[in-house]
Amino acid sequence: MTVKPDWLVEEEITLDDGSTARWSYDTEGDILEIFFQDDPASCTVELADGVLLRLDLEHNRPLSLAFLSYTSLTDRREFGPPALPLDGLRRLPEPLRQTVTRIITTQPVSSVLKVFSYVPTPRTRKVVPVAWLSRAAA
Amino acid sequence: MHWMVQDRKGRPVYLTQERWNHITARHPELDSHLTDVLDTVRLGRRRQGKRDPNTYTYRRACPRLPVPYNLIVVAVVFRWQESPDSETVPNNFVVSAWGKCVPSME
Repeated sequence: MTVKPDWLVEEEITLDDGSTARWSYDTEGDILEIFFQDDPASCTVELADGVLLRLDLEHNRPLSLAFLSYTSLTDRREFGPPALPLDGLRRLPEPLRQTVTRIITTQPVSSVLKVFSYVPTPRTRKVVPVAWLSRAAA
Repeated sequence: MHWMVQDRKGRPVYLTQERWNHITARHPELDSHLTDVLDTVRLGRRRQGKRDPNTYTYRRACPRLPVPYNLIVVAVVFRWQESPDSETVPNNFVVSAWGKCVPSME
Protein backbone atom coordinates (compact mmCIF):
# COMPACT_ATOMS: atom_id res chain seq x y z
CA MET A 1 0.00 0.00 0.00
CA THR A 2 1.29 3.47 -0.85
CA VAL A 3 0.62 6.44 1.37
CA LYS A 4 -0.08 9.74 -0.31
CA PRO A 5 2.49 12.34 0.77
CA ASP A 6 1.12 15.20 2.86
CA TRP A 7 2.43 17.70 0.28
CA LEU A 8 0.26 16.25 -2.47
CA VAL A 9 -3.30 17.41 -3.12
CA GLU A 10 -5.20 15.38 -5.68
CA GLU A 11 -8.72 15.52 -6.98
CA GLU A 12 -10.65 14.38 -9.98
CA ILE A 13 -11.83 17.19 -12.23
CA THR A 14 -14.37 17.16 -15.01
CA LEU A 15 -13.21 18.80 -18.23
CA ASP A 16 -15.21 20.73 -20.81
CA ASP A 17 -15.81 17.64 -22.92
CA GLY A 18 -17.16 15.70 -19.95
CA SER A 19 -14.06 13.55 -19.54
CA THR A 20 -12.26 13.42 -16.22
CA ALA A 21 -8.65 14.08 -15.30
CA ARG A 22 -6.62 13.88 -12.11
CA TRP A 23 -5.52 17.26 -10.80
CA SER A 24 -2.35 16.68 -8.78
CA TYR A 25 -0.78 19.63 -6.98
CA ASP A 26 2.51 19.41 -5.12
CA THR A 27 2.20 22.12 -2.45
CA GLU A 28 5.87 21.88 -1.45
CA GLY A 29 7.31 22.05 -4.93
CA ASP A 30 4.55 24.25 -6.43
CA ILE A 31 4.07 21.83 -9.33
CA LEU A 32 0.72 21.12 -10.91
CA GLU A 33 0.44 18.04 -13.06
CA ILE A 34 -2.85 17.15 -14.71
CA PHE A 35 -3.12 13.48 -15.63
CA PHE A 36 -5.43 12.65 -18.51
CA GLN A 37 -4.35 9.00 -18.57
CA ASP A 38 -2.10 6.99 -16.26
CA ASP A 39 -0.28 5.02 -18.96
CA PRO A 40 3.50 5.19 -19.47
CA ALA A 41 4.51 7.93 -21.89
CA SER A 42 6.39 7.32 -25.10
CA CYS A 43 7.63 10.91 -25.37
CA THR A 44 7.78 14.11 -23.31
CA VAL A 45 8.20 17.56 -24.79
CA GLU A 46 8.71 20.93 -23.11
CA LEU A 47 6.14 23.40 -24.45
CA ALA A 48 7.64 26.29 -22.52
CA ASP A 49 10.06 26.76 -19.67
CA GLY A 50 8.86 24.35 -17.00
CA VAL A 51 5.77 23.19 -18.90
CA LEU A 52 6.04 19.52 -19.85
CA LEU A 53 3.65 17.45 -21.90
CA ARG A 54 3.85 13.66 -21.67
CA LEU A 55 2.50 11.89 -24.72
CA ASP A 56 1.48 8.55 -26.08
CA LEU A 57 2.74 9.08 -29.61
CA GLU A 58 1.44 5.77 -30.89
CA HIS A 59 -2.12 6.91 -30.31
CA ASN A 60 -1.43 10.67 -30.49
CA ARG A 61 -2.93 11.33 -27.08
CA PRO A 62 -1.82 13.38 -24.08
CA LEU A 63 -1.05 11.65 -20.81
CA SER A 64 -0.17 14.53 -18.52
CA LEU A 65 0.61 18.22 -18.54
CA ALA A 66 2.89 19.62 -15.84
CA PHE A 67 3.56 23.19 -14.75
CA LEU A 68 6.52 24.13 -12.60
CA SER A 69 6.04 27.27 -10.47
CA TYR A 70 2.32 26.85 -10.94
CA THR A 71 1.13 29.68 -8.68
CA SER A 72 2.89 32.27 -10.84
CA LEU A 73 0.54 31.24 -13.65
CA THR A 74 -2.58 31.84 -11.58
CA ASP A 75 -1.73 35.39 -10.46
CA ARG A 76 -4.30 37.67 -11.97
CA ARG A 77 -2.71 40.80 -13.36
CA GLU A 78 -4.22 44.10 -14.38
CA PHE A 79 -5.17 42.82 -17.82
CA GLY A 80 -5.98 39.22 -16.93
CA PRO A 81 -4.06 36.00 -16.46
CA PRO A 82 -0.39 35.88 -17.47
CA ALA A 83 0.31 34.54 -20.94
CA LEU A 84 2.76 31.75 -21.47
CA PRO A 85 4.82 31.85 -24.68
CA LEU A 86 5.01 28.30 -26.00
CA ASP A 87 8.54 28.78 -27.29
CA GLY A 88 9.33 25.08 -26.98
CA LEU A 89 7.16 24.31 -30.00
CA ARG A 90 9.54 25.88 -32.48
CA ARG A 91 12.35 23.64 -31.27
CA LEU A 92 10.48 20.54 -32.40
CA PRO A 93 10.89 18.98 -35.82
CA GLU A 94 7.91 19.68 -38.07
CA PRO A 95 6.03 16.35 -37.87
CA LEU A 96 6.23 16.30 -34.07
CA ARG A 97 5.40 20.01 -33.85
CA GLN A 98 2.25 19.42 -35.85
CA THR A 99 1.26 16.46 -33.69
CA VAL A 100 1.85 18.38 -30.47
CA THR A 101 0.00 21.44 -31.79
CA ARG A 102 -2.98 19.28 -32.67
CA ILE A 103 -2.95 17.66 -29.23
CA ILE A 104 -2.75 20.91 -27.25
CA THR A 105 -5.46 22.63 -29.29
CA THR A 106 -8.01 19.84 -28.90
CA GLN A 107 -9.70 18.14 -25.97
CA PRO A 108 -8.79 17.25 -23.32
CA VAL A 109 -5.74 19.55 -23.17
CA SER A 110 -7.66 22.53 -24.56
CA SER A 111 -9.91 22.38 -21.50
CA VAL A 112 -7.06 23.55 -19.31
CA LEU A 113 -4.66 25.23 -21.73
CA LYS A 114 -6.04 27.92 -24.03
CA VAL A 115 -3.71 28.47 -26.97
CA PHE A 116 -3.68 31.63 -29.08
CA SER A 117 -1.64 33.07 -31.92
CA TYR A 118 0.15 36.31 -31.16
CA VAL A 119 1.36 38.33 -34.13
CA PRO A 120 3.89 40.86 -32.82
CA THR A 121 3.84 43.02 -35.95
CA PRO A 122 1.41 42.72 -38.84
CA ARG A 123 4.20 43.21 -41.37
CA THR A 124 5.99 40.04 -40.37
CA ARG A 125 4.63 36.58 -40.85
CA LYS A 126 5.92 35.56 -37.46
CA VAL A 127 3.28 34.01 -35.24
CA VAL A 128 4.04 33.28 -31.61
CA PRO A 129 1.94 30.63 -29.89
CA VAL A 130 0.92 31.77 -26.42
CA ALA A 131 -1.30 30.12 -23.86
CA TRP A 132 -2.92 30.71 -20.55
CA LEU A 133 -4.31 28.39 -17.97
CA SER A 134 -8.05 28.24 -17.89
CA ARG A 135 -10.08 28.61 -14.73
CA ALA A 136 -10.58 24.85 -14.63
CA ALA A 137 -6.93 24.40 -13.77
CA ALA A 138 -6.64 27.28 -11.32
CA MET B 1 15.94 7.76 3.63
CA HIS B 2 17.40 10.14 1.10
CA TRP B 3 20.26 10.58 -1.35
CA MET B 4 22.53 13.62 -1.12
CA VAL B 5 24.58 14.91 -4.03
CA GLN B 6 26.44 18.08 -4.92
CA ASP B 7 25.98 19.86 -8.20
CA ARG B 8 28.86 21.07 -10.38
CA LYS B 9 29.29 24.15 -8.17
CA GLY B 10 29.23 22.19 -4.92
CA ARG B 11 25.65 23.09 -3.96
CA PRO B 12 24.06 20.33 -1.87
CA VAL B 13 20.83 18.82 -3.20
CA TYR B 14 18.93 15.88 -1.78
CA LEU B 15 16.28 13.51 -3.06
CA THR B 16 14.03 11.72 -0.60
CA GLN B 17 12.80 8.17 -1.03
CA GLU B 18 9.26 9.54 -0.83
CA ARG B 19 9.92 11.90 -3.74
CA TRP B 20 11.59 9.18 -5.77
CA ASN B 21 8.60 6.88 -5.25
CA HIS B 22 6.35 9.71 -6.37
CA ILE B 23 8.45 10.42 -9.48
CA THR B 24 8.54 6.81 -10.66
CA ALA B 25 4.85 6.30 -9.95
CA ARG B 26 3.93 9.34 -12.06
CA HIS B 27 6.68 9.10 -14.67
CA PRO B 28 7.41 5.38 -15.05
CA GLU B 29 9.74 6.10 -17.96
CA LEU B 30 12.32 7.03 -15.28
CA ASP B 31 11.88 3.81 -13.35
CA SER B 32 15.31 2.18 -12.77
CA HIS B 33 17.08 5.45 -13.65
CA LEU B 34 17.73 6.71 -10.13
CA THR B 35 21.48 6.94 -10.73
CA ASP B 36 20.89 8.88 -13.96
CA VAL B 37 18.58 11.32 -12.16
CA LEU B 38 21.16 11.89 -9.43
CA ASP B 39 23.89 12.26 -12.06
CA THR B 40 21.76 14.89 -13.78
CA VAL B 41 21.95 16.99 -10.62
CA ARG B 42 25.64 16.21 -10.08
CA LEU B 43 26.80 16.87 -13.62
CA GLY B 44 23.97 18.57 -15.48
CA ARG B 45 23.46 22.18 -16.47
CA ARG B 46 21.43 24.27 -14.04
CA ARG B 47 18.81 26.67 -15.38
CA GLN B 48 16.89 29.14 -13.24
CA GLY B 49 13.12 29.09 -13.66
CA LYS B 50 11.66 32.05 -15.50
CA ARG B 51 8.63 32.22 -13.23
CA ASP B 52 10.22 31.41 -9.86
CA PRO B 53 13.86 32.35 -9.18
CA ASN B 54 14.10 29.71 -6.44
CA THR B 55 13.18 26.82 -8.71
CA TYR B 56 15.87 25.44 -10.97
CA THR B 57 15.99 22.65 -13.51
CA TYR B 58 19.02 20.49 -14.10
CA ARG B 59 19.35 18.96 -17.56
CA ARG B 60 21.65 16.28 -18.90
CA ALA B 61 21.66 13.96 -21.88
CA CYS B 62 21.03 10.35 -20.98
CA PRO B 63 21.46 7.74 -23.74
CA ARG B 64 20.31 4.94 -21.44
CA LEU B 65 16.68 6.08 -21.41
CA PRO B 66 14.14 4.20 -23.53
CA VAL B 67 14.00 5.60 -27.07
CA PRO B 68 13.02 8.34 -27.99
CA TYR B 69 13.92 9.79 -24.57
CA ASN B 70 17.40 11.21 -24.49
CA LEU B 71 17.50 13.83 -21.74
CA ILE B 72 16.58 14.05 -18.07
CA VAL B 73 15.08 17.18 -16.52
CA VAL B 74 15.18 17.43 -12.73
CA ALA B 75 13.31 20.17 -10.88
CA VAL B 76 14.97 21.36 -7.67
CA VAL B 77 13.76 23.99 -5.23
CA PHE B 78 16.39 26.02 -3.43
CA ARG B 79 15.48 27.10 0.07
CA TRP B 80 17.05 27.87 3.41
CA GLN B 81 16.24 26.49 6.82
CA GLU B 82 17.45 26.93 10.38
CA SER B 83 19.66 24.16 11.74
CA PRO B 84 19.40 22.88 15.34
CA ASP B 85 22.28 25.19 16.31
CA SER B 86 20.40 28.17 14.81
CA GLU B 87 22.49 28.46 11.69
CA THR B 88 20.89 29.15 8.35
CA VAL B 89 21.68 26.24 6.07
CA PRO B 90 20.65 25.28 2.52
CA ASN B 91 17.58 23.13 2.04
CA ASN B 92 17.71 22.25 -1.64
CA PHE B 93 15.71 19.25 -2.74
CA VAL B 94 14.47 17.48 -5.85
CA VAL B 95 10.74 17.91 -6.35
CA SER B 96 10.26 16.04 -9.60
CA ALA B 97 11.94 14.72 -12.71
CA TRP B 98 11.00 13.89 -16.27
CA GLY B 99 12.52 12.09 -19.18
CA LYS B 100 12.46 14.38 -22.20
CA CYS B 101 12.63 13.83 -25.94
CA VAL B 102 14.88 16.22 -27.80
CA PRO B 103 14.39 15.12 -31.41
CA SER B 104 16.92 15.85 -34.09
CA MET B 105 15.80 18.71 -36.36
CA GLU B 106 17.12 16.82 -39.39
